Amino acid sequence: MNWKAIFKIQGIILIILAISMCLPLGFSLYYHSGDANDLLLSIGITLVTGIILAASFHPDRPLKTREGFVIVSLGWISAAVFGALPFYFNGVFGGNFIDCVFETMSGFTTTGATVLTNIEVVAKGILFWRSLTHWLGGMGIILLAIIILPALGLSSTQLFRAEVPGPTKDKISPKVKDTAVILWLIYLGLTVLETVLLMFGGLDLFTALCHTFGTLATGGFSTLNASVAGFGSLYIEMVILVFMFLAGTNFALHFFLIQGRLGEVLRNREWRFYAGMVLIAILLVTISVFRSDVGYDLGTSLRYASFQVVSIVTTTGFVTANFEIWPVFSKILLILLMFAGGCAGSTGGGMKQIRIMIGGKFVLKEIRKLTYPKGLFTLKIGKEKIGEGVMKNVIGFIILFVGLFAIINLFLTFRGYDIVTSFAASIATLSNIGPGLARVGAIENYAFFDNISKLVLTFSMLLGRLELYSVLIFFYYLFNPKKIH
Amino acid sequence: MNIVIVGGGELGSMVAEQLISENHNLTIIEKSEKQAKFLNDSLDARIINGNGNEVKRLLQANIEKADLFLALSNNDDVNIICCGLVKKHSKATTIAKVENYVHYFPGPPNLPSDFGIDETVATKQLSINKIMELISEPDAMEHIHYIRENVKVIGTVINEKFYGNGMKLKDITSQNDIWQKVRIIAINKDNTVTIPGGEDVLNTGDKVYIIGRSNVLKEIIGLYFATKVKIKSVVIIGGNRIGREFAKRVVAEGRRVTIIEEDERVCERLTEELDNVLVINGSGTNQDILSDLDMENSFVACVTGNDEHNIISAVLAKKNHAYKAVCNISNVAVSSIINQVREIDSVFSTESLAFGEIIRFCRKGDILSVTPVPYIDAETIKIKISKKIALLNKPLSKVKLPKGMIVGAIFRDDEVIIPYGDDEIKLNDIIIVFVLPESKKQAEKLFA
Repeated sequence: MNWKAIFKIQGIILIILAISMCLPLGFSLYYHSGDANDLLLSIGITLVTGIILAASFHPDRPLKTREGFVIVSLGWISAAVFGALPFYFNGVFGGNFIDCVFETMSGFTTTGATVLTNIEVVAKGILFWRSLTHWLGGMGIILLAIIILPALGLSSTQLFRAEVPGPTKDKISPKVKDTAVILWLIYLGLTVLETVLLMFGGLDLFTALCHTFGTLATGGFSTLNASVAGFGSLYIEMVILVFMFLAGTNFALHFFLIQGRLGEVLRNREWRFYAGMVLIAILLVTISVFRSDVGYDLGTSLRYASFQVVSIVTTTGFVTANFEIWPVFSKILLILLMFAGGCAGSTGGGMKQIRIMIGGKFVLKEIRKLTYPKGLFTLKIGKEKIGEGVMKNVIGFIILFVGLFAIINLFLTFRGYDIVTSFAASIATLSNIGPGLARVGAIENYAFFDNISKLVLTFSMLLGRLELYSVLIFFYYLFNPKKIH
Repeated sequence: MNIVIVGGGELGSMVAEQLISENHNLTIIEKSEKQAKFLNDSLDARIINGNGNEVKRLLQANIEKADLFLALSNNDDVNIICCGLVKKHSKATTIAKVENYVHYFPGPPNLPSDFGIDETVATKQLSINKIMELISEPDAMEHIHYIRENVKVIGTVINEKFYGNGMKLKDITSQNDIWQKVRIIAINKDNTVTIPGGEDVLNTGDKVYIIGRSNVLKEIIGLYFATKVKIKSVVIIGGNRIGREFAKRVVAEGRRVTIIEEDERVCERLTEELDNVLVINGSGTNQDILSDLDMENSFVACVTGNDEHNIISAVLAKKNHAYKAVCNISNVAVSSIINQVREIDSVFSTESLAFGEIIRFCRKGDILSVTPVPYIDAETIKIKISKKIALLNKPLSKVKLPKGMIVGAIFRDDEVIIPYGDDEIKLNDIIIVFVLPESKKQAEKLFA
């Protein structure tokens, strides 16, 4: 194992983390919210650790495939641990470090599951850091590190693969570094745009930024106890809805759009599938809610249904209505949508639309193969052939995803939580959504879980964000170092 | 530069790796899905899985914006055609690998430019030239020839009759002034390659690499390393591609030639095409066939398309008293391992030769050429000094050079200097440096 490279890159990640912590410090000083010292202390510890690591290790050979996975997983874990420091020093969770790590991991993995019971009393600086973790994790901390790694003479091809979601990792530019720059610039552009639009709706810079981070990272942390519902503004809901949808789209498509290749975007099969799924789900939920005894009129039904569906499919987890009281059909549909998630190459979590498509087509192919045993069938998405390797990888992923979901679910019920809560909490963390049903429902939080369950859920979020394999490989090597093969 | 490569095989990926390390933007079109996936995982480049002679794929690779297009697939037809296709969409300079050059372009009016090809790399020709060099000076096992300056790097083995056995280098060189005109740039002792100093000792079996003017080197070989063996016969193992062409050349030189080829139909064609050549149908790894031949004082060239086959044949041939055995190896990674097989005198790799050529064409900057020395996994690099770098105008002995690097020659105006400690590098010199792999990064930094 190339520990020198692993530690050096950890150091760089921590330095990036420390620099980004300076942003909430600005807000803290502006609002005199009294958390500046906590932030400063966190910045100090993170920066010093980062500099020591980065300066004392000099890798002497390039990265191997497995080391890429280890670096990425370890990077996310150390980001969650060091990112938890501001919460810890500020004492928002009464000194329970596990709560702090849960909240930070929930932020970085863009889950948005919170253990805060009263958000609005938390100091502004800390609150801003909480939202900023979303933004950093959405496009990827490692992807940010990739931009500066080549300058340090480290190759980053192995890292790109381990962090960017989706079964095939298309680079929009020949170089990984340039790809990372383009993706971050698009991300930054969308952030500025949404912030400005939200400020038009009457939000101050702080609130607008926090919600923008939550939206574009498909995270879901709000600065209000009632989430987006707290604004009670149709305009703000619509802005957030549109940007959630954009964030759930493959960022390569945004790049095509900027280049004026609209046709390519519209022809993209995954995007069409994604848009179609969203529209049909909105329609079904609207009808279901409208016909039920919740008491919405048609317009309100459409408003809440569309926001909630987009929020769930993109794995954001913002809430405008307490869907806990909606008819069971709607709730089950929302839960099932949680498995789907955004497009490959988006900031959304879940299994990803493309995998659902490939999985579905695989089943159809098998059916046709059984009817015509000698027939030959190729799996295609649009005009592109899906190779045997990708197909197997996708099927394996789906099985693993459902399997891990089942194990986490089983564990939570073992700890004594009820069936709906366990089911919803498992998928809501694994798919990086946030709110689920019952005790983790739309207006609830995760504070009541015991510490061990919280750790498992933290792990579940990390699994979901890094698409299972990276994390599993990391733990495989950690606990099985002698039998490495 | 934006560079598009068609074909990500042995040669393509080797070229890609070099160009990526020089910070170019690469897109590779690779036909095999498996290879494409492998490349995607290992190279910092965009990989497209598809045929390079399909316009759709070329456009997908952003060919309009490319500055350089390299057609390096294993299929000459594809390489030639895609250059033509590219020229219609792009202003990129096109370079095609054409293995069987004469087949397509025997001479005017048939020219590569008809197909939009700016430069060709005729790989078969490169290999033939290499073997011809090896056979013309059988006592040197490695040749790098800088034709314009008439400077060579040769490699040779210290035999037991050499006067300097067990002596320090500085004592050896003080015996005859001729040593001052050349420089020993590397010694390979028991498979570890070092750049020697005056205190290093030479022993029987060591391989030394010497740089100098061609005529001086010839004199040194004649004085100290010639075994005075006259090569009477040539045995060629593998009758395809290179083997046939090589046979024609050596027959013309009046040597006795035997070709051993497994494929019966290829054998038949060989007998039709070649006169005065003994064609044997069988495997070069077959002990019986080899022992039937009179191999005393023969030169054996193993040039089948199969590396393992070539290695085994070469070793067997030496066991049957062949004088020299040389191997063609396509997997460059193993060529340094073959170094450990004492029976094989020289290794050459068509891919390495083509690599050197291609990189030379890709140069716009200061590095004029990179020539791999596959036998010891090192490189000789020819660099033009056009910037003011730190080591200029100082005696070389005062400059701190990386351990695995040595300046072998300096070309100033029309003068060739084989530098020792007192010589200096000046602006606008062209220099040849010899670099071991562990110092490559440092060396690059030094001249950047």
